[in-house]
Amino acid sequence: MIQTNMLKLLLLAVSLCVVAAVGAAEDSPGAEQNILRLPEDVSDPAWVPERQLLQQEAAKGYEVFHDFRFEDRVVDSGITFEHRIVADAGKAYKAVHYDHGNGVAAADVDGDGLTDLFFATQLGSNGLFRNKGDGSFEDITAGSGLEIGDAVSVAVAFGDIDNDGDPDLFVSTVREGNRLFENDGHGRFKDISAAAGVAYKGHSSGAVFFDYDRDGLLDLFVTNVGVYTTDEQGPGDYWVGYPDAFSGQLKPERFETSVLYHNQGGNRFEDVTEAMGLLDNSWSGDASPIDVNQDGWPDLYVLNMQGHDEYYENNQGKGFVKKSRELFPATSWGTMGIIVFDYNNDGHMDIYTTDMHTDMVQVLDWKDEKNKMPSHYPLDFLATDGKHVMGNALFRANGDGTFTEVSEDAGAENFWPWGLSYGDFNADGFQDVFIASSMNYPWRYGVNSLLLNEKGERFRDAEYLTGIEPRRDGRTAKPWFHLDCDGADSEHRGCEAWIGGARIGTYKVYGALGSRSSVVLDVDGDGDLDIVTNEFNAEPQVLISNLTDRKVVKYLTVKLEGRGSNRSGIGARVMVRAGGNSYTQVNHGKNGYLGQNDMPLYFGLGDAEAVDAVEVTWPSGQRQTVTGNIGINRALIIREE
Amino acid sequence: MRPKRAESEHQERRRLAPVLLTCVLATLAGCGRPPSVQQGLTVEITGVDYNWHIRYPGEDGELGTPDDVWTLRHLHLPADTAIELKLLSRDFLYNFWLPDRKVYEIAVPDVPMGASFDSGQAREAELLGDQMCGFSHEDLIGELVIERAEDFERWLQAQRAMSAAAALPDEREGVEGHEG
Repeated sequence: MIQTNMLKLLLLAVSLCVVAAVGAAEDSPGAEQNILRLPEDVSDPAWVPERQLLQQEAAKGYEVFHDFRFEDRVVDSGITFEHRIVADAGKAYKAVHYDHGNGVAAADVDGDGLTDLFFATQLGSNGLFRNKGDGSFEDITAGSGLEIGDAVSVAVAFGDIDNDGDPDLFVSTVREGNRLFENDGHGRFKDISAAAGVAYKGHSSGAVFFDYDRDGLLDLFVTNVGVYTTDEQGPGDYWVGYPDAFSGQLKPERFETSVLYHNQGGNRFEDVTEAMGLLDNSWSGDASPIDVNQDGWPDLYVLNMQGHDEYYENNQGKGFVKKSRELFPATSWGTMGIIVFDYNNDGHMDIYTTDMHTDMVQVLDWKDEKNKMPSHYPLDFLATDGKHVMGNALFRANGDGTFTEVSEDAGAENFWPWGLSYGDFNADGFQDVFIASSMNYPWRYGVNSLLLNEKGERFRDAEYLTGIEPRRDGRTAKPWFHLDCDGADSEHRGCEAWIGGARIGTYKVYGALGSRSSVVLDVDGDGDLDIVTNEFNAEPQVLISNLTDRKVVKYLTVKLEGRGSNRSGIGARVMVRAGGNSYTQVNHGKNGYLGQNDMPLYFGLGDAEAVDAVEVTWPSGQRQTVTGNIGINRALIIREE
Repeated sequence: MRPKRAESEHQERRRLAPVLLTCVLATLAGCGRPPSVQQGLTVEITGVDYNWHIRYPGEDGELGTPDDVWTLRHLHLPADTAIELKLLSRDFLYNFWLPDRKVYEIAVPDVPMGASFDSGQAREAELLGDQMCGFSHEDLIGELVIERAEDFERWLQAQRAMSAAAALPDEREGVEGHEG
């Protein structure tokens, strides 16, 4: 079995390196340009029709509502942003952490009541887009103060650091100083990074605003991956990656401790990493707060993309105590994304993490993508105890502060995942999940996953049923880079390995499409949830749902305004009681990889005709219950009493 | 799950047990000496620029001396010998697999990896490799040739003529027979 799989892997890997498809000029600017597809079927995978058919057949047994579709309307959306990669992910490909991509985040930056979007990129400018309210957006990057053209950005996090009612913005970068921007309330931002004391220069990644000491001010945790770049700079002045970057877990000299900042007020932060005992050297791309022991103090789950995840219990704001293996004896080895949500509506927060790096052990046939990886890296490479979930992990809360890992029974596995977001896409009262996936060049196409939650018992694959797949116009690949084997690229490995050593001609090399991060929001204001992605080396997808055309949707959105707590109510626990059921969310804003949002919570209500009560437990400890004629299909604003 | 090394050694012992028992009985019957696991052999394998550079100790029995013998790609080993592989890389991470011996390792720059196993009976098998999370190359795929000790010695001597050319570039100067 193992040998068969490895042979398959080798055959596939080899196929990447031999001549793929050299054809005549095709949609190329120069008539002399040939087309190279790596691998050969990247732009027309033969398995798509069969896979689509099989999912349609399987859906006959689904009990979850799936009769609705998404449509990618990016072309008409006004979102002109296009993610651009560094050369390490293209012509100078190497396995290095740049392939982890970038975030997208949502917040109402100009106070008009509509949720706007901010996209991060590696090269070129990040993009700020104002929601016009009709499902379209306007590029307001220029003049916003958010143009970052001098750094490779990574994550984007909105958070109201000064409690003035508008979302400020933190952007992490690769070795060019992290940035903190103060919002003037009208969508114009001022760079206050240096004065705020958060301009750390390193290999930063995820950023998490949370109020760990419950003093009413949002603190900040910034994860650092580890030293994965050399001192050489490439095109666009990015820092060129180490060719052995993914062995960093074996090299302590490359460890880079993540940073916890305490908000001192007055837009100033203090590095309290050591003082709070949160010295984490994981190769961490992201993290999420979660109050595991339900004592009201937000604990922290820190992802590790090259080792065990870590869990830190918050000791009443006075420090953090590592209790990783006590609560999570086996985690994924290569964790990328995390969501903390209540998938089975039992009132307890569950944890769903995605594992990309275990999926790099070998390339699976598409029919095996729902299975765990059958083999792992050697123990001396893992540099752990070897006890890992062999793919995505779903930690179901037991209600007593412990968890049970149920990913296999719950159908939570997928292939080549990055980040994930949750949302009740069919408004049946159970949180569904979108997983941004696919490895891009030089690998085969990988599908994004839409998992519909069937009664809180299991997730059902529905990306083909709901129009997430195939992508718009059936696209699976795009031109990735050009090779001039007659000239500048004559020494490029591809000129020899891919075209038989002739080293002549010019080539357009194709790579597979793939998403990295996502945000879930009601783009067009019609009462159902849509999805916006940040892709890798491509324009976003703006996936608009037609759910409200397919069924009567009942929902409630809840916006919080803290008083004694932080203004956005980050960390508040919200329970909606409706139709004899209760639905619980924590307003932590962490609902997407490399991103943190500041926007209302959306509750699908199933068949409920009315909302009976909304109970809020604020970070301050204040408990508040809203009752009376709350109604449905409306936006509810709750101000802390 | 991939079998852990300890498990594979256990399985190997179980596989060899009937053979050893047969040999013991044969010895008691006076019909010959049992085959023995030869004195151990340490081989160093380094991945660089999509090639495996394989280094054997020469007549002095030590690695890292001028009489070392270098080859590329194909791994020859004497039969019934305790083998220790030292695995290194000078640039990328490389997967190194000997499925026949249940060796699935990764070559890493600056961090020596390795594997130990008994070579077992003479036979030929696969040596598989590629760049981890990247490209493959035909020069990373070769053969595992396990042969009788005398055949191995003969083969090793024959490689001396090409040893310098097969050595790592920065080691060539120190290889016996190097002509500058």
